Amino acid sequence: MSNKSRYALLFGVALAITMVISACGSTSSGGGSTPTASSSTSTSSTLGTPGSYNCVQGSITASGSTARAPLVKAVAQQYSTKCSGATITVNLGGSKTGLANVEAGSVNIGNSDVPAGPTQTDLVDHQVAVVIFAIIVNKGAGVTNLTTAQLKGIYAGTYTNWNQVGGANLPIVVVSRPASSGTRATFQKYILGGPEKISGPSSLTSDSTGTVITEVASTNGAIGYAASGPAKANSGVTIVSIDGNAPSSTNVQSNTYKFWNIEHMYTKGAATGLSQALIDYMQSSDAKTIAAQQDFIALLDMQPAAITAHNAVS
Amino acid sequence: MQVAESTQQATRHTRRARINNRVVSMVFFLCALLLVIVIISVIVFIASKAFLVFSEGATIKGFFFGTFWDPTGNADPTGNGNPSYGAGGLILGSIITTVIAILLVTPFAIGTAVFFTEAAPNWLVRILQPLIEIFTGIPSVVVGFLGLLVIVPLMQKISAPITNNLPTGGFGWASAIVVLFIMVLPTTLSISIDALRAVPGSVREASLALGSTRWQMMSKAIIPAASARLGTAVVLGFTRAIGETLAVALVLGGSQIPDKIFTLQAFFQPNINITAPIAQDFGETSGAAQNAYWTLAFVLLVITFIFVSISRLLASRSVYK
Repeated sequence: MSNKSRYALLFGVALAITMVISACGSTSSGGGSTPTASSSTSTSSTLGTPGSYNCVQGSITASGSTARAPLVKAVAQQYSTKCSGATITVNLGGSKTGLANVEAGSVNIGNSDVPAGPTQTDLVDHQVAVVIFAIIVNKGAGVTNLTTAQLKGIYAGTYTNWNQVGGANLPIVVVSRPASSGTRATFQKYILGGPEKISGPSSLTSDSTGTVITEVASTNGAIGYAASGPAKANSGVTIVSIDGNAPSSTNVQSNTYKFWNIEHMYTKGAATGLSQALIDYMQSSDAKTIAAQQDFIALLDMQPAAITAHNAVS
Repeated sequence: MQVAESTQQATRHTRRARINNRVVSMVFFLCALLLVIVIISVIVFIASKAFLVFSEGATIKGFFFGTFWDPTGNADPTGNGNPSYGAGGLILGSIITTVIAILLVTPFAIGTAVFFTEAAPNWLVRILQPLIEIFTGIPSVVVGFLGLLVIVPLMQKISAPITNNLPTGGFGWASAIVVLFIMVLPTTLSISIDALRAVPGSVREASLALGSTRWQMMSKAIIPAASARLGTAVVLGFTRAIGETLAVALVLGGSQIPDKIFTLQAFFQPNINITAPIAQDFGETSGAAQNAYWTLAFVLLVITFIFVSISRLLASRSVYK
């Protein structure tokens, strides 16, 4: 065989092998093809009761919120260990991506921190957990409590030095999230009551919870907001109470601490089989232990009055 | 009889060889065609989505000269949620950071490449060349975190006299330029070294034979001879720099352009460019807001195209074709 045709043959073989590998490899990633939510034996009749555990065999995929992915993955793993034959794959992508995926039918469950859009009417909402957010300040600021009025002033640029709010003599540096962030939307809705108006050289914008925490820890006099689980894990920042209330589970359950939000798991149409079993299991006592470690609260533990008051804020 | 048989065999051989040739050249042509189709499809796809934003409330003048970027409307100071599509500040940020970074990298890279090819001892070249190639492969997110944790505090101390001790003085275009310098230098350096090595030895010998010193040979004979390929090196550096997203987004730290752009302080406060909002917001948006990000992506493509054309024009005036 001449050299050229030998190279052409090698190239063709390499191409064929690449295609075979990519075709075989795609079945484990769990996105793009209609998922088989096959459930063979669903024995218990408590399916559909939040907090119950039912072993349903099959395989499903979930995708969406990165904030809640660790919780869902840990609970799903726990479920798979207890119920062999159940395979749950959890992908990331962000809340909006999760909603888009479940709407298109490429995943079974969409995790989202924000409610579905008005055009996504065939999505059924399951509210499973509550995520707690916290205000964090740099250790040099010298405050452990801020009132809502002071927070509004700081994020409008009225206060520019920490000694104006009872702290050290240090300029305030404000760290925000980008305008499309769900955390920022929660902050604006439940604490500020309006949009952030800060601008100028002393304000930073950071992309994610982790970057906010890093920047608050390393910039003198910085203040920011982030999910309280990662914030508690980082010893370089101080978590601040709002109006005298610390971000503890008891305060959130009674809504005396108002900086929290409900996590949604959406399914297209009513949830069936393994999807419903997983959604129920997210509020079982095993899941509650995992949630407490990661600083989430199961919705069943919330007082109903707290949820009504929370949803009433416009 | 013998002659006829061997002629027949010879004809069969050449015919097979000719068919092989044709098959192979067809396969390679198809590969090239596939590449061209992919590139054109990407450009057409982005362009098709890029003009939708102008039918949803953005004006061309407002887009290119406005300075408040908020396509989702969540940062509207009035609280009404009206989106603003002012990308002028973003485009300015990208152009300034990239151009200054390239202006700093180019003499550095070409000078180092000249040193490597002309004046460095062999053992040094053998050690440093693989190091440079490893350095080319550093992930940008690693450099970004390096920037956030090392360069930003350092820059804050350096810029303290200019910015009156601003705590956020480490963020902004100055740190972005440093980060871009780190990202782009290895690429440009490797290609420049290859460019200079490709100059035939006859050029050097002719120059030396005519009595020029080593420096005159390097500056007046070799660099002009390699100018087309050096132009390619600079172009590749520019395209890498303007598309650099994660590394730069971590050290820029802003969401809008500062109020006073044409001062030195604008380099030392939280700032913005095109790629940082795309990285941060694109996945979270949908509908009209997402179209605005497609337009930004298209603007990025157009800027790159303009720069590549200019560089090709300048480099085509090479002495040795």
